[in-house]
Parts: sequence; structure tokens; C-alpha cells
Amino acid sequence: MKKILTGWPGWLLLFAAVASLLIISYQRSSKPLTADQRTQSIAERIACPVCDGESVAESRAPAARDIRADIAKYVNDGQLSDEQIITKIDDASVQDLRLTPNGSGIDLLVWFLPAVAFAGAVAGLTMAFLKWRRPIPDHGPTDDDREVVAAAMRNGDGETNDGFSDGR
Amino acid sequence: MLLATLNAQLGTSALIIGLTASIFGVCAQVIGVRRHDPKTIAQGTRFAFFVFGAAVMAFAVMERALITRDFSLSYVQKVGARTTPALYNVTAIWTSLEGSILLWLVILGGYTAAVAYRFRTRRTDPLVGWAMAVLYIISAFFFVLTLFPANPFKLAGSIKDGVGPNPLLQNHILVLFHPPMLYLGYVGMSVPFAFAIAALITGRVGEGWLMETRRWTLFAWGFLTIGILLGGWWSYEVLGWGGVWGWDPVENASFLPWLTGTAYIHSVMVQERRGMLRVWNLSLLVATFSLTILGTFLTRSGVLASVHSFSESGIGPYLLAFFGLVVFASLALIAWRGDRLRSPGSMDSPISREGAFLANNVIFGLFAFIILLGTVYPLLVEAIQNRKIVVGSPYFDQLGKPIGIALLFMMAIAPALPWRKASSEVLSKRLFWPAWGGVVAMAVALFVGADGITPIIAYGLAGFAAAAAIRQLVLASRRQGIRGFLGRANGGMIVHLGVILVAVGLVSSNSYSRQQTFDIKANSTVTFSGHTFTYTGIEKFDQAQRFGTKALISVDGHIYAPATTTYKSVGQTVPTPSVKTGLTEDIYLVLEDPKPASAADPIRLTVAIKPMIAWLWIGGLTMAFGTVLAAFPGKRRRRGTEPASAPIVERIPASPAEPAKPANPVPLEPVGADV
Amino acid sequence: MSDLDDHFDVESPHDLDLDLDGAYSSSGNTPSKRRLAPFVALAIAVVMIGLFVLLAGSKTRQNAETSLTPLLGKPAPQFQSPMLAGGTFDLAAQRGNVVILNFFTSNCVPCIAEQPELVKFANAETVKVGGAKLVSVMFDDSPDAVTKFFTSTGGAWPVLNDKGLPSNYGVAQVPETFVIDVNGIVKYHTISQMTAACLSSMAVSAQDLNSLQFDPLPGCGQ
Repeated sequence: MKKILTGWPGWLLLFAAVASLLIISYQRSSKPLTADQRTQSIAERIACPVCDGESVAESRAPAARDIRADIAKYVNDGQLSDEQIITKIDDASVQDLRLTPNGSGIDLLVWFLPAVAFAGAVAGLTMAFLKWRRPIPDHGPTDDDREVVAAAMRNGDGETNDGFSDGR
Repeated sequence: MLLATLNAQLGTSALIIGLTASIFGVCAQVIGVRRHDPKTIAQGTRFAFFVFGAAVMAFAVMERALITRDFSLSYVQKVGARTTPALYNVTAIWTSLEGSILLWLVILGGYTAAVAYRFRTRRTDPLVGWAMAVLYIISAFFFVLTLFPANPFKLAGSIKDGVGPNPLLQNHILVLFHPPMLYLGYVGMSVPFAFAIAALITGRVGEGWLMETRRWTLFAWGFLTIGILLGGWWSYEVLGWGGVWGWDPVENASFLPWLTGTAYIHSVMVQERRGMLRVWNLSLLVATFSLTILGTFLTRSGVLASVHSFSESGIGPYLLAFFGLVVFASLALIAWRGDRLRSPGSMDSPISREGAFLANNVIFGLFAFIILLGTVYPLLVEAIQNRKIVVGSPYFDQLGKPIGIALLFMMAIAPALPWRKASSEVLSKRLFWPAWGGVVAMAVALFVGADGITPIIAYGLAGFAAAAAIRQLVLASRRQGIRGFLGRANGGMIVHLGVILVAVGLVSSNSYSRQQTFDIKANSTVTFSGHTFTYTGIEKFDQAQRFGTKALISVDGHIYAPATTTYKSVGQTVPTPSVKTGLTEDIYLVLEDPKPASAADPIRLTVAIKPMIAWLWIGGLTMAFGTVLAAFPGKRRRRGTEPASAPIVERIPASPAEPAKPANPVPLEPVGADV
Repeated sequence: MSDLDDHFDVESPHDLDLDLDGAYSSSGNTPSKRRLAPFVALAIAVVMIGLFVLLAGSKTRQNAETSLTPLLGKPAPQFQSPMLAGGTFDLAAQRGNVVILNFFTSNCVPCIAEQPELVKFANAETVKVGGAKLVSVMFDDSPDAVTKFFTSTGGAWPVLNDKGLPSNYGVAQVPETFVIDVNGIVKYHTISQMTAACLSSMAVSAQDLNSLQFDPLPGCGQ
């Protein structure tokens, strides 16, 4: 009985359960955001113009409060999209207020480089495993090995090994 | 007049003694080791206690100066004030740059002395000798910092009072714990680094040095973890925006070494077990240590904007030069020894414990890369295009989410993977019930009202990972009794449980926090998210160093008092949130401006409901507890070299006449793992 | 095979105080004699040198008190703002005059300390021909409190009540002072208390019609 349960029928049941739970959660999440939530999420994407490294959502500076009020106003008007609101606020300031770099020009690199690093890491791992998969040919001991062994034998207990006897 | 400058002279002499002792220590160690002279080495080791003593003395003198309000020192003028309460006057020492370097020195001196004491019977071993030399070099560098660019004992003009510590740093008891904990972790990474360098110099890259530093690394890692979480807690309790983590450069600077350190703690097991990944592990230790230096540079030199840059000075070039020295010396050593470090073993299958550790390392490494990139990216753009941009939390959140999910997934399946190779049969059997644990977690989350695909997946994986950890603990304790909780594999599972608690806390508080700002008239009530908030009055307070207003809010019948506080000497007003902590949700109250002048005035109150924040602190405690368990030896102590951990050693024949056989391409069967 | 097997990972058998096995140097018994490590190290070194150069070359931000604002050396943002006493103040109309813009609140301790110096400065400038115009801007304060504050300290210069102005000038902390020269360029900015003497010397330097460069003024080196 236990065998059947933990065998493929059990796993099938498990995947079915996961799939149905995910569908439920997907259906639940399609609720629209409330105005407050939307304001908050936009505020989190805009830098406070007078602070060092805080977003408008975090900062308690009056300037941040004013921008929050502006965002709330635009959200309540319901005319603009999130991106348009951010652009509008960003344009109104002499500084760059976007907390996420734009996807253009050199700013694109900040998104691109992690992808490159990820691809590089995966490629490196794959290559390593492919190499390990090949049987290692038996070359016999190298000169290095002999030297190392000789050094180790000379200073058997390591107490007098000065650390360079086996170096180059 | 002598009395007035006594502290300055005492402190400066302590620093000079420390620097001299460090330099003598380096010389004695290097000469002693090179000449095989036990006497010189013994001398060299003794300097460690001088270094520690000097650092403690400098620290104590500074504390004395702060407590006695000796305003002849410019540092006391900077962080001291006659009105600062005793507790915050004592902690004022690490609220600014110069004093925090003193704290760094005390801890580094302590570690150096501890290494000297721990290895006293083996001090003639070149490995220990070189490690001590490296530690002396590091402490010499920090003594130089305190003597030149960041001298805390500089004399200053005849001001008789100061402004006191930054208001945010005299507002909560956590400033007493967070910096020392963080530094115990940060600075502790010097010890494994020193042994790594020593192993490279001596060429003794067998697993010996790993054993020596295993617990030191765990110790430092544990404190770093606690320090980071306490930092989050401080930010939650003090800053008033209700978050624990803002991806600020200072926070990133502490998180980066944690990431590489965590990667090391995992991948080192592959080396101990299979003798592989030596270069990689050395590099991770080097990276961890150099990231602590780089992080200090980024946050202290003023090149980056940060809420936390409480102090800036001319220390930048020194730190950058030292960072360069560390990186390039280590790289040169690895390049020189690298090929000799290569191990003969090979991995049979990516679906194995060692494969999982490799994947874990890739994820942690990638995470560290992304955070470093995001942190220094504004500098890059400014250098190329002379244009200021900001890379803020949305960037890190967006990229951090998939990485967090991937780490949870790894945490779920890795404990079930056997070493070398996993058959699908074994996997299916071992993963089955933990996977159902994940399903249950998802179902529970949905039942209590969670929504959104990403959080639900995260909860599912967290449940899966928790079940996998518990499964291992149950199996281990069934066989070994109470010892089943000890040792790295089992203690590590408790650390995993702590990480899962933290992850669940983060996912919940990030996804389901809600907040609203209310204008409340006197004695009226608002309702938010099922709780009632009644504004019952105000309470004004006026103390020597600050004045402010508390609003008394009755939350479901219990009184909470968020306040705003103005610090007189700097005129800065800071919020003092009031938090009702609970296991399932926190209620976070912030009194906003304008503050009420009298009890008749309305107040503006921001109410935030933060689900499961407390899980972060419980998780942190669990992680610390698990780290302690992991530091205990797991199984009975065994003597000698086990083939499992030192396969190469086994292959060296007893007589030089018979040259070494090349290591077997298929290493010995690991002990204890039947595959 | 038991399900238990793998769970008793062999803890590393060595304890700190056991004998050392590190005495044996492991041989680099690589199947091929390619020396890979130097190249990998070289590649990393190149990246690190890049990082190093980047960090070494990056400008250190000044400390908060003389912090650089993006406005320094640029035309001051224009505004027409209501004055507390009535009427509007138009910055454009002040071209040819030095304007000192002081952001403050009536309850900030350093602002209160600064006020007597400002009064001294303002009194001295009103006597001069073509003296500098001192203008204070309310920062997050109530008109009543400010009126009371100015009456009690004897300040008689214009006070602007414009909520948008502080954000336009990127004001974070008070007191914050901007010196705008005769050509409408921001020449100096500080987030700290000013003295009458310092303001006077600034006013004189900013008066210079011929200074067409956008160089900021040096501080007063208090």
C-alpha cells in the first residue's frame, strides 16, 4: 500500500494538488490593487529627491511626503498608468528619481550583466561536469608529484617544514 | 593642562604600542618561520597579547574620555554631549568612524590573541606562523588608520560641549548590540582568511587548515547573521518606515560577505568530503574578507550616498589601497599555487549532494555579484557619462526574488541528495513526504487568505524545505538520540529552519503589509483591518537632550504611544514608532507631522499592519542556535585521517622509493554514505 | 538500502586539536598539464583592476554641510511665490540683485540660533545701495508660528509660504541657505548655520557682475 502511495501515483497526486493550489492562488491574485496599495507601490519606485538612498515610500522628509501626495492625486484621478506617473514625477525634478535604471543605453547593462553572469555560471558548471564525465587518463606521477612526496618524506612530521621546500 | 591632554596621550600611546607590536609580530613570525627558529616564533606569538592589550586600552581610554566628558578630544566633541544619557554615551563610541575603527581593533586584537592562545602548542607550525603574520598585518593596517586618517585622539579647540551621537543612534537600545555583533562577524572573517593565505604560502593546501578554521568561520558567520538581523530590527524600530531592509549600500556591504561566507560554509563540505574545489574555497574566503574591506570603503569614504553614512573622512584611499593589496596578493598566490591545488577527484553526477552545493555556490555567487553591481553601478554611470542615477530597492527586489526562490528550492532538495550520485528511486522516496509538506504549506497559506503566485510558490518551497530539514533531524535523532541535533549536518538543518522562518517572514511582510494614514480627532476612533485605534490624548516630555510629544493610542484596548522626538543639539526630529508585536502580525504606529500642540488637536497617524515580522527575529534566534549546535562535533571523535576527508593523503606511499601513484580517478568510497 | 544512510553525514573526523594532516602537500596531479589558474586569476585581476580604477576615480561626496546640490553653478529654479505678509515674490524680478534664500522652520534649534545673525545681516544690507536681498522660505511650518517667530526676533524681510519650493531646491534639512548671484546663478549652498560675517562676504563676492564663470564660491572656513 505504502509502495503505491509513494510511487508514481503518489507523485501524480502531488503534482495535481500543486497545480490546483496554484490555479486558486492565480485566480485570487487577479484582484486589482486598491488606490493606497497602488500609491505605495509607485512610491517605492521613486527616489526621495533630498535624501541619501531612500525611496519616497521610506523617507519622512517633507519633499517625499509631497511627492507621495502627488502620486495619490494622480492615482485617484485614474488617468495615468504607473509608468506615466513615474515619468511625470521624474521629469518634474532636476534629478533622476527613478530607483530602477531605465532599460536604455548604458543603464541596460545593469540588467544585462547579471544575465551574462548567470549564463556564464551555468555554462561553466556544464563544462565542468562534462569534463568530469570523461575518464581521466592515467599519466603516472609527474615530476611535481615526486618532488612533493620527497619533500613530505624529508620533513615527515611537518614541524620543520618551512613552507617553501615544496614550492617552486 | 597635563590632565586635559592625558586621555589623548594615553590613547595615542596605546595605538603606537599596538602598531609597534603588530609590526614586530609580523617580523618575528616571518623571520622565525623562515629560519625555523622556535624562540623567535614564540616571541612573535606573544605580541598578539600586546596587540590585544593595546587595542583594549585605546578603547577604554576613549570610553573614559566619553564618560568623563573630556571635550579636549575632537572625537568627544563630535559624538559626545553633556546631556546624552549614560547608556548612549557609552555606545557613542561606535557611532562615528574613528571610534568604530577602535571597536574593530579591539575585536581583531581579540581574535589575534585567541588564535595565538588556541594554537600555542603548535606555534612552530609554519601554517600557524604565517596565519599569525597575516593577522598582524591586518591589525597593523588598522592601527595605521587610527593613527593617521582616522585618529580618535586628536586634540581640538576649547569647546566645552558637543552635539552627541546622531539622534537615530540614541533612540533605541539596539545600538548597544548591533555594531559589536556585526563586527564580531565582519572581523572574524579575518581568521579563516589568514589561514587560507598561510595555506597558500606554505603550499599545504591539504584539508588541515580547513579543520583548523572550521569553527572560527562558523563563529564569525553566526555573529554576522545576528548582526545583520539586528540591523534590520534597528531599522524597523527606529526609522519609522516600517521596513527591515532597504538595500542601502551599508546594508549591502554587510550582506555581501555574508553571501560569500555562506557559500563557503557549504562548498567547504565538498572539499572536506571529496578533496575537491580547493581553489574555489580559497577564493571564497579571500572574497569574503576583501568584501568586508570593500564594504567599509564604500560606506566610509563617502563615494556612495547612504542613509547610514554617519561619518565620512579621508580614510577612503587607505581602505582602497588595502583592498587592492589583499585582492592582488591573494590572486597572485592563487595563480602561483593554483594548479598545484587542483584536486584529482571528479564529480559523477550533477544530481548529487556535491552537485547541489555547487549549484548553491553559483546562486550565492550570482546574488553577491548582482548586489555588488547594483551598489557600484551609479559610480560606473557617473564615471562614463557624468550623470547621476540611482539603483534602488526595486532593482534588488526584482532580481532577488527569483534567487530567493531558487535558494529555497535548493534547500528543499539538497538534504535528500546523497553524495556522489542519486538514483531516481532514492530521490523519489526521500523527497516524497517533504514535498507533501510543501503542498500543506501552500494549502494553509491559501486557507488563511494569502494570494499571489509568487508568495504561494515561496510558501510551498518553504514548507518543502522545512519538511526536508525536519525529516533529517527526525531520522538523525532517532538513530543517535540527542546527538542527532549536533554536528554540522544536523545543526545545519536547524539553521535551515531559521532561514525558512526568516524567508516566510520576509515574504509575508513584503507581500501583505497594508498601511493607511488617518487624521484622528481627540477621543475618536478609527478602524483599520479589523483593529480599532482610539486617540486618547497626548503626553509631552522635555528631557535634557530632547523634547517631544507622545500620542496615546488605544489599540484594541491597549495603550501604545508613538512619538516624535526633537534632539535639541542638532535640532533634528526623529519618529519613534510604537509597535504591537504579535506572532501573526505587527501593528506599527507612526505619529506624523504636524505634531499636535495640545490634546485637543487632531493627530495624523500612520497605521501599518505588518504580517509575520516577528518570524524574522525568531528565525534569527533559531539560526544562531543552529550555528552553535553545528559547531559541536557531530559524531564521536575519530583519530587520524579518514579516507573520506583526505583521499589524497591515503595515496601517498610510505616509501619514497615507490613513487606516488596518481590519485585514483574514482576516489575512495566516502564513509557513511551508501550509494 | 536504508533511507537513513545518507543522513549521518560523516562529520569531518578532524577536530581542532587532532593531529595535522596538512603537512602533506597535495600534488597538483592534473590529467592535463595546462596551467589554468594563472589565466583565471588574470581574468579576475582585470575585472578587479577595473573596479579599483572606478572606485579610485570616483568623486568623494562632500560632507553634508557643504553638500553639493545639483543646482550649484546652474541657474536657480525660477519661482513666483506668495509672501506671508501678502503679495508675491518673483525671483526673475531680482536679476541684478544678490538673493540669499534661507530655508527654515520656526522650531528647529539651529534655525533659532541662526536667526539673530540673519537679523544682523539683513539690517546691514538694507542700509547699503544695491544690497543683497535676504528671503526666508518656510519649510513645513505653520504661518502663525512663523509670524510669531519673526515678530519676536525682529526679522523684517520677506518670508515665502510655498510648499513646492523646498522640493524644487532639494531641501532636506533646515537651516539650508542658497546664495544666488546677480546673474541668477546658484553660487553657494550650505546645510548649516550661517553667520552675518560669512553672509556679508558671500554677498560681496556674488555681487561681482564680471564673474561669468559658474564656479561656486568658497566657504567661509568657520
